This record gives sequence, structure tokens and C-alpha cells, in this order.
Amino acid sequence: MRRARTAIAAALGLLLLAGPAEAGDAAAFQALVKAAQQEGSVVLDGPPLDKVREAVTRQFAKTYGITVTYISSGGPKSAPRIRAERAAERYLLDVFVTGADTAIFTVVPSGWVDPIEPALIDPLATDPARWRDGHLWFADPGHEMLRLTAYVTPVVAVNSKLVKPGEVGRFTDLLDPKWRGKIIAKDPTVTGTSGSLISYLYLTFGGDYVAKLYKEQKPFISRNSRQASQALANGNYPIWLGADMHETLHFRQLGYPVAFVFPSDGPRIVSGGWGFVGLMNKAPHPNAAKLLVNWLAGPEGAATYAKAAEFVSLRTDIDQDWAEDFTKLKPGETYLDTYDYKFITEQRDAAFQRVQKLLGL
Amino acid sequence: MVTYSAAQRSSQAPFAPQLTALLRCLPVILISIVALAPVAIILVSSFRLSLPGQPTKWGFDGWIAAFSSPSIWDAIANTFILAAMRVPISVVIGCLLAWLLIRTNLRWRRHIEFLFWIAFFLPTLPMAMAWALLLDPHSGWVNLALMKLLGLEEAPFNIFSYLGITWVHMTATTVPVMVILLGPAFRGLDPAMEESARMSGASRLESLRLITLPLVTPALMVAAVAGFIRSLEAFEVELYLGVPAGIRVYSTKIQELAVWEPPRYAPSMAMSVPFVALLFLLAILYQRFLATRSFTTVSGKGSASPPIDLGAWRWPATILCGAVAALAVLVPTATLLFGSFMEVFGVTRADGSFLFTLSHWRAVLHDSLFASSVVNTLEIGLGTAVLAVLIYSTIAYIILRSRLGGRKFLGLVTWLPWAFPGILLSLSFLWLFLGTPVLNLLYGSLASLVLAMLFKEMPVGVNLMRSGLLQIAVELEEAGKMSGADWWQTYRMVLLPLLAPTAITVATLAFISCVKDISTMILLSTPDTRPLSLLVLDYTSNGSIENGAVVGVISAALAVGVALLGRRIGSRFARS
Repeated sequence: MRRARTAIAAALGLLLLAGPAEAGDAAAFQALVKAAQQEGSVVLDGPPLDKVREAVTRQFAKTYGITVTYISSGGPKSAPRIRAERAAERYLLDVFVTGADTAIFTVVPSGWVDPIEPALIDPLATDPARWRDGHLWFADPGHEMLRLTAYVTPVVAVNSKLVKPGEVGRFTDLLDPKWRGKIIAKDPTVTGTSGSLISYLYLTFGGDYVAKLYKEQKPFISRNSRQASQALANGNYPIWLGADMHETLHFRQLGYPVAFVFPSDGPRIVSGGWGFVGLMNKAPHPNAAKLLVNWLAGPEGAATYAKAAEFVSLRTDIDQDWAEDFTKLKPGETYLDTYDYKFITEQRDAAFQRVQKLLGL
Repeated sequence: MVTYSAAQRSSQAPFAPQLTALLRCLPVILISIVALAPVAIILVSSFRLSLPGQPTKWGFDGWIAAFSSPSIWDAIANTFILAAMRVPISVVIGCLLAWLLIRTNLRWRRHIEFLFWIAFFLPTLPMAMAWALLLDPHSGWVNLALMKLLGLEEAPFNIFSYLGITWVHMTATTVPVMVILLGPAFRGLDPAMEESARMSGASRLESLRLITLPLVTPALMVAAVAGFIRSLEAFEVELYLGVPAGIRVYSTKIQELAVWEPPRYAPSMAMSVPFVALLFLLAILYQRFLATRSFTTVSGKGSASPPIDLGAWRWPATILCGAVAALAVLVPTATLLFGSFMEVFGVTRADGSFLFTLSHWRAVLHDSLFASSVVNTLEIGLGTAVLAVLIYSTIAYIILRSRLGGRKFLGLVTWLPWAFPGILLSLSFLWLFLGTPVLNLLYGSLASLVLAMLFKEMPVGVNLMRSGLLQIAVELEEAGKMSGADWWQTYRMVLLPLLAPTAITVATLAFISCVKDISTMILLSTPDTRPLSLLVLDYTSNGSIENGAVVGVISAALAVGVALLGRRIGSRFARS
């Protein structure tokens, strides 16, 4: 019953955030390119990922001859600085690419961005046929930030030498006493992806399940993905709950016996990484900023960003063969989109707070 | 001759005495304002429930939220347990090491002392990771080797424990810092006092206990207070090693609240306020202790003397000191250096083979951010080092040797920067720079980072200078004045040369802190002013631990270079 509720919530959320079919304006876009080139530079606050920094700055400069000043603090570290700057009426940032929490709890309610939809004028960026499910995706009901990415993220990884196939086929299998002290888990006190996972478990299986999992099963708590993935790969802990996909894949490439498990008693989880882009208002380079968001929403920018960040793009017209097949959304499958606005604002946070009280944190 | 009655004098210039008094106190007032501004911001913000830019709303909700959380009291207890475990032991070990290295004929003492400087510099989190590689209860290399060798069923060491956290701190920071802080104090001692004690029949141990230790008490107290306060706000190691063991500390709770989405500034600021009160109390006790004693050891008499002969203890003491330095330095630096060439830091392939690569070094050296980060670091470090000597020595002089009103209060205020976890200090500076006229022109510049670091290092710098000044007899200064020198000439030609060993220590510490610091600069730094420490953070937080290890090695090399230079200059002054 709980699973059905979350699936319905996810579907409703998708409908809420679907954008209308808008056509771009090619002539206006060309004028925008010229105006942006006159400005000559743009300031982007983006993910703290070197590959993204290098790829985006290089490719955008190559295509349009505009320099990108890239700030890579990450949303939670950028937000205090941006807030203080704007309170002092210093407007130094043009474009902000960030994750769900910062976008929904900080950027949008603080009024830092104007609705992005009117700024998207590149016909290649706005053609709905080139986006998943035939529409543009947005972070919020007001369409103030555009969503660029969505991918299935596995949350359970196992050491396949220590865990037989099917031995952890359901989330409820994690409560088996034989796994006591043998699970490495994400810190349940941290928001973001950890918060989403703990909320997902609470909403899907209830408070008793969460209490048994985190108290009776005595998991080893780690905030460090490298530490956790190494412990899994070495066989110190056969199961990793809240596995970091990229770190686990890294160890798999090194030949370690690690594999992902998709438990059958809960919907697969969709995430977005640093997948929201916003156009800051009172931007110092307004035209270059608009051009950049159009580029990120367009095929070249979306492909550049997705491949560098290793997040599957919501565009359907770009090459994404580099991505693992299990990360791509399949038609007809049921997912819980942890980047859905309703899920985050109405369910996740409340569930997270209840879990903190439940676990005495 | 014309004389005036008191009434006539009063009527001619009724405000002159008050104005003169105010002008004389101006340096104290200005410095106090600078030191108190971040404190005021944090205190006021603890009652402000709205975020900057929103309509202001005040209340006590932040305080209630901060101290009604069930886990906060466990975190407070853990914090004090960890501090109590490591600080007293580190003070004793640090004091013994410093005495052996500076005052005795220990073999290779200058090289071993130098190793402690390097240990102090190394970034703390990678060292915790290195020790975890060795002492993880499941896969630690040392544990596995001992279990095989001794046929043990369980690992003898567990790095994810109170003892593990204490071990990493002691080897990585607390003991090396004690040696560095106590070194100048031992160096500045007049050996005549120890010689007199020995001539009176006291043994080496009695001389150490009854003469040497009491004379270095100011430095010991600075070191102990410094160690205690810093251990209260430490969190990198606690985060990495404590969280898996369920050990949460005060500073991790503060940091969690500050980076919450949306941020919870009021409760995080409220949690910092008790630190301020505790620090003030410690500072008052320290000042009262100093006021009742004299610690002069540097006088007008010559001070050359051979080092104390350890006799049969020379080689055992050398081996002991060398082993401690090796643990503090060689283990983590070897791991860092080794890791920077591994395909994946600290991890072999599944078949046990290592794959070494230069790709991380190439990636870093070709990264456009790297060169600019090096230049920024050098500029911030040099600027801070030079200004630190000038400003801290002046403040120390005002506190100890001047008759300006408010100097005792100034002495208390200089401890304040330590009361705040780095992220809150960074936040208060951000608000201060953006919200203050004139200062907001510095926002986004290297100058803002230099000012922030000067503020942050004030407790150590000023109090080291105080310890140094305390050891210099007032008569030397008076002799300068009696010879006709004005204050500035006396300060420049008499005091500064005598303070030179301390000044070099302060300058070197200030420089190295700029190379290491993350939390103070993180919110003030921009892409144009990013230093190496934030580049390490960028790399490690985005999963490029190997690139972070490369920058860590380069930063260590930079610090070694600076420490060598400091040592060379210090030796020149010691000889003269």
C-alpha cells in the first residue's frame, strides 16, 4: 500500500513538473549569441567535479568564444556565500547548477532566480520531442529551474564472493540476523542523498524497519564513499546500503567482486545528481548567462555535461552509450523520483525528521 | 614664571585629559573592535531566526533547538573526553621532546626537530586516512601483519575508536604543535640558571623540574590552552574515524547545522557561544597566573652555553625522539607520496598488484587552477607572515609593557578567534566583509584572506610573542631608552632582535597555517583567490583523492621549504 502511494506520488509529481510544448525563436537566439559574445564571459557555479569544470569551460569557449569562470564549491558551500553577497547587493553569479536540496530549499524560495522557461529560446533546447516523455523538466511548479539529468541509482551493492545471488533480493532481507554487523551504511543524520535513502526506507517500510535496520543490525556508518567502497571491495563488509555508484563501478573496473542489487520489494530510485540549472537574476552578464543555460539545455551542452558528470541526461537525442544500462530509465517501469518536488517538500523532509527522533539522533 | 590654578587649567582645556586618555587607548580600542566584531556577529546571529536577505525575525528558537536535541549532550561529553585524553599527555610528551631537542646534546636534534615542523604541516584528513589504511580492524596492513605473525584471531588495533582518534591527533597535530610552541621558550632560557642549579648539586632531573619547567610555564600554558581549545573544535578526524564508531562531537554537530539546507545558523551559532565563555574563562585564569610571577630569563648577560649532557641516556633518548618523529611524519608522508602514484589511492587491484601511474601528477600540473593556487598561497602566506610578526608583537607589547588602559582586556580578547569552529568564523567574516563599508572593497581579494588568517592565528601568535617578551628583562629596554633611543628605535634595535627566534616561529606558523587552512578561507575564497588548501578540498570532495594526494605532497614540499628557510634564519639569529 505504501509502495503504491509513493509510486502514485512520483507519477503525479512528474505531471506537475512537465513543461508545456514551447517553440524556440531562432532569430532571437542568434541575437542572443551576438549579445553574449559582446559580454565575453560568464560566471557559473557548478558541481565540484574536475571533469565537468574542464569539459564545460573548454567546450562552451570553443563553441561561442566566451570564457566561463567556474566556481566549484558545491551547493551547500556556495549557498552561504551567495546569500551573503546578495544581501549586500553584490550580484556576482550568472548561472547556478546544483542539486535538489539547494535548488528547492534555498535557490528558489530565496528568489535568486527568475523563471528559466522564458529564457530558453534555442529551438534545439526547447523542442519537447527531444526530451524524455515529450516535455522539458523543471525543479519546481513555478518552472524557475530546469532539470537536466535523471538516472536510476542503485542503493545496495554487495561483495559477490560473500553474498550469493538472491541472498539480498529484498530490502527486508537486510534484517536477517546473519547480516548483523556486516552492513556498511550511509550516515542517517546527513541530508541530501543519505536523507533521501533514509526517507525512502521509512516511507516504504515504516519506522520499525528503519529502527531495526539501524539499531539492531548495527551497521558500520560511513560518510566517506571511498572508505565504504573499499571496505565492500575488500570483503570487510559484504553489503553496502546507500552505495555510491561511481565509487563502486571504480572498484569493479579494478577487478573486485562488487555488484549492484535492485531489491524487488521497493521501486527503483531515480536521482539527478547536480542536475538543476538556474538563471540568476540581476546577473552581471545576463546575455552570456542566458546563452549558457540554452547551451546546457541544448544537445551539445547537455551531452558535454552529462558525459563529464556521468549523469544520464533527460534529453533523448544525444549519445549516452557511455552510461551503464541500469542507470537509464525504462518505459513502463515504476520508480521513485527522489528529485520530485512533491516528494522532497511534502514527504522526504518530514520522514527524515521522524527518523532522527526514532534513532535518537 | 606663570602658574595656573587647577581651576584655571581645568577651564582652559576641560576635555583635554579625557581626549588624551581616549587617544592613548585608541590602539587597544581598535584592536578590540576588530577582535570582537566576529564574536558580536555570532552572538547576535544566535538570536536571529531569519536568513540574511529575509525580513528579520528574532527569538530564542535557535538556542532551544541547539540544546534540546537528544544527541547534543553525548556530543559534548565525547568532545571533552577526547580533549582530556590527548591534551595532558601531549603536553607532557611535547615538553619532554622540546627539552631534549633544544637543551640537551641529543644526536641529530636539529633534524628531528625539523621533522616535527613537517608533521605539523601535513594535512590532517589524509593522515587520518593513512592511519586507517594501517589500523583498520578488518583490513589494516599493520593489523593483518600482526595477526599473521602472532596468530591472533582479532585485530589488536582499531582506529575507529576513542583511542584511534586520540592517536591520530597526537601524532598528526597535538604533539608536533607542542614541540613547536615550546621550542622557542626553551631556546630563550638563560642557561646560567640551570648551571647555577647544577653547581648547587641538583641533578639534571631536579634542574628540569625546579628551574626549567617553571620558567617555561607561560609557553606551557599557551600550549596546553591551545591544545585544549583546538581539540574542542577539531572535527575532520572525528568525522572520518568517529562517525563509524558512533562517536559524534560538538564541532561536527555545529558544522551539520551550518550546512543544512536551508542552513540553521541560529542553533549553530548558539552552540558556539558556550565555547566563547569557556575560552574567556581560560584566558582570565591564564592572565591571573602570569600576573603573579616573573619569567624573565633573557637578560643583558651573555647566554652561550654547551647543551646538557645526557650521558648514557643520549642514544636511547635519540632513538625515542626519532621514533616519535618518524611516526608523526614518515608514515603519513610515505603513504601520501605512494598514494599519489597509485591508480586508486591506497587500493591495489583485486589480484593484489599495484598499478602505478603518473596520470594524477600530469592532471594536476596541467590543471590551470594549480599554478594560480600556488601563487595565491605564496602571496597569502607571505602577507600573513610579515604582518603577523609586526601586528602580534605590537599587541603583545601593548599588553605586557605599555600602560595603556584596557590592555588586560585586550589580552583576553586575543584568545577569541579560537572559540569558533572554522566554518562559523568563515561565515562571520563573510558577513563582516560584505556588510561593512570599506571592508567590502576587499571582498574577493587576497587581502581579505590575509586579514581573516591574521585574525585566526592571533591567539597563538600574540601569546607566543607574549611568552617571548616575558623572558626579556625590562632593563634591556630601559637601557636603550637611557641611551637616547625613542620607543620605535628601542623596539626595532633591542626587542625585535631578541624576539627573533619567537618572531620566526610565529611567521613560519602563520605561513604554514595559510597553506593548510580550509575552514577559515572556504567562504571568502573566489576562483581568483583560491589557495592550494582549497584545491585539495575540491579534489578530495569530488572523489579525486589521488589528485588531492598530489597537491598534498606539493604543499608538504612547500612547507618543508619554508620551514628550512625559517630554520636557517633562526640559526643566524641564535648564533648572533
